[in-house]
Amino acid sequence: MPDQLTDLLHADADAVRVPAPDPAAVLARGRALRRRRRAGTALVAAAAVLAVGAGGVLVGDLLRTPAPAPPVAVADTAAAEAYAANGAWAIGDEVTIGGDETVTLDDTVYYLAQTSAGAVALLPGDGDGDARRLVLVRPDGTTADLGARVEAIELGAEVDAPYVTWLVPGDGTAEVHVWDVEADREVGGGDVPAPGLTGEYSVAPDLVGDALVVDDYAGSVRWLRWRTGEVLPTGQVPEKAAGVRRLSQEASADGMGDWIVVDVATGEVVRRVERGWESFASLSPDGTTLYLARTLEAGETAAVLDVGTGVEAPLDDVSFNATWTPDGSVLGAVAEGFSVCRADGCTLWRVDLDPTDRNWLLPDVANVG
Amino acid sequence: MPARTSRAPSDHEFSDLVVAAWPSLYRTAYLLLGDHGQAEDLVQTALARTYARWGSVRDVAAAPAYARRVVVTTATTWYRRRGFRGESPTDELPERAHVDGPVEERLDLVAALATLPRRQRAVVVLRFYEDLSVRETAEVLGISEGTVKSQTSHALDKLRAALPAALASLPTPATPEDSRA
Repeated sequence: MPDQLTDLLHADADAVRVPAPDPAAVLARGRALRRRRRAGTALVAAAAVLAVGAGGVLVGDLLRTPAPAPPVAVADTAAAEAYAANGAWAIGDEVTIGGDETVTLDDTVYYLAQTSAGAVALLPGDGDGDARRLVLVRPDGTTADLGARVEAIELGAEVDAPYVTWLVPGDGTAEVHVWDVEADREVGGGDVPAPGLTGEYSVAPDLVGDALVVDDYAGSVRWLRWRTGEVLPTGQVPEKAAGVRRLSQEASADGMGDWIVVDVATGEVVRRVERGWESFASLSPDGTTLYLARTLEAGETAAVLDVGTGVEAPLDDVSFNATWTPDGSVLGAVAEGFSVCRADGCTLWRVDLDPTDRNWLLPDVANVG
Repeated sequence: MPARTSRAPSDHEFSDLVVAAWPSLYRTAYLLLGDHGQAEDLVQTALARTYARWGSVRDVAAAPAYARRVVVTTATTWYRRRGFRGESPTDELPERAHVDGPVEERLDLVAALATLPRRQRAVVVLRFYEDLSVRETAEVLGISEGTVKSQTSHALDKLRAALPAALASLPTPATPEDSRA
């Protein structure tokens, strides 16, 4: 192969004048981006969850509070129950659902979302264009190539609904799509004003029943009735927002503001938690429990916190970033594999994870690498 | 049960990463975009996105590779969303890049690269500058391996035509990518 071309490219590139970096400016942009991202990743509908008899003990029991109703609403089968209990994850082109069912897809998974119909994988395009593809991996291990073509790098989803959402940034506008993964068709969406959206990056919209919320990147959020395309006026929230909680981070100049759980309808801060020097937080599907990994003066901690009482219970066997299974257990990755933690301990699925490769994915978390 | 991994890296470590990775990322960005201002903006954006994931980083050594991947994927996103100026290739070589001193002649190749359609340009940079395989290139760009191969072939044809003397020894484009697949 033309090593000559490689040599020439390196010689030319080496001759390019490189401006000096500005780490402080990069840090400032990164902090702003992280605030936006975290503000948009944990919207839940505590009042709208569905109950199924998935059984099992939830992480909420660690806190000696009544377990919330499992939110997933999939068919009553052993596979569905396993999916509800253990969630899904991906390594390269392999998606594991329910802990034991592994499916090999035709390309590397970019992002993984959990829906009531199963896990939805975002894959590279098929060569006809740059838009990416979606594949539904059902709890029983069967798959369906979906017709959607997605110009986004992450998906939004709820574990109790068969929809995924994504957002295409425009000039001051967020173009929102909602796709029914069971019916395999677009069922709604619309254009939402987002004056602060620059187009470089944006989080996926959060679904709340027939509405969804989009960060306008100007300090506020806008609601869209996605079935009709109606955008609600600024400050107005839909009826479905009653009881909805949102995880956010309090604004601060240094990016170190506390984690706050906010009642979307009233704006009330229902829980405030010290953020720590470095931290990761994720709100459970039913909105009652917060997963927290923090680096404090005393050291690094991982815990689940009851949003209602503020009581924390430590977790020892999950990764710094973790997510939730559909029924409310903590799913993380450790050196030996994937770990699902609930009240009666953690279950480890042994997988050879190369920490320098990091091509593994937890659902709803875009991992490094 | 497994022990916990080490703490997340600090902001100080991130600043060190910015300083260390910046020159290499900038050169890749410049080859992809052909514009200094956009290259700087791209690298800043990519590093900011890396920082946004910083809390989940457990191995700082893996962070530069992640940032490089973000540079490429963000560039391809910009191609689509910004009405990128390289969207319509031109037959005329653009002005030479700004360089220091006697190496200016070398930049004929960079100028020729800038005339390629965006996808061909990205394929050349990834395969022959970043030394990615066909499969890795396909994965990063979100296209099929067949498309990578065909785009490579077309790109080499054009580069050879633009710079016949410098690239005379390049093989004919029958299957030029095979040895790197």
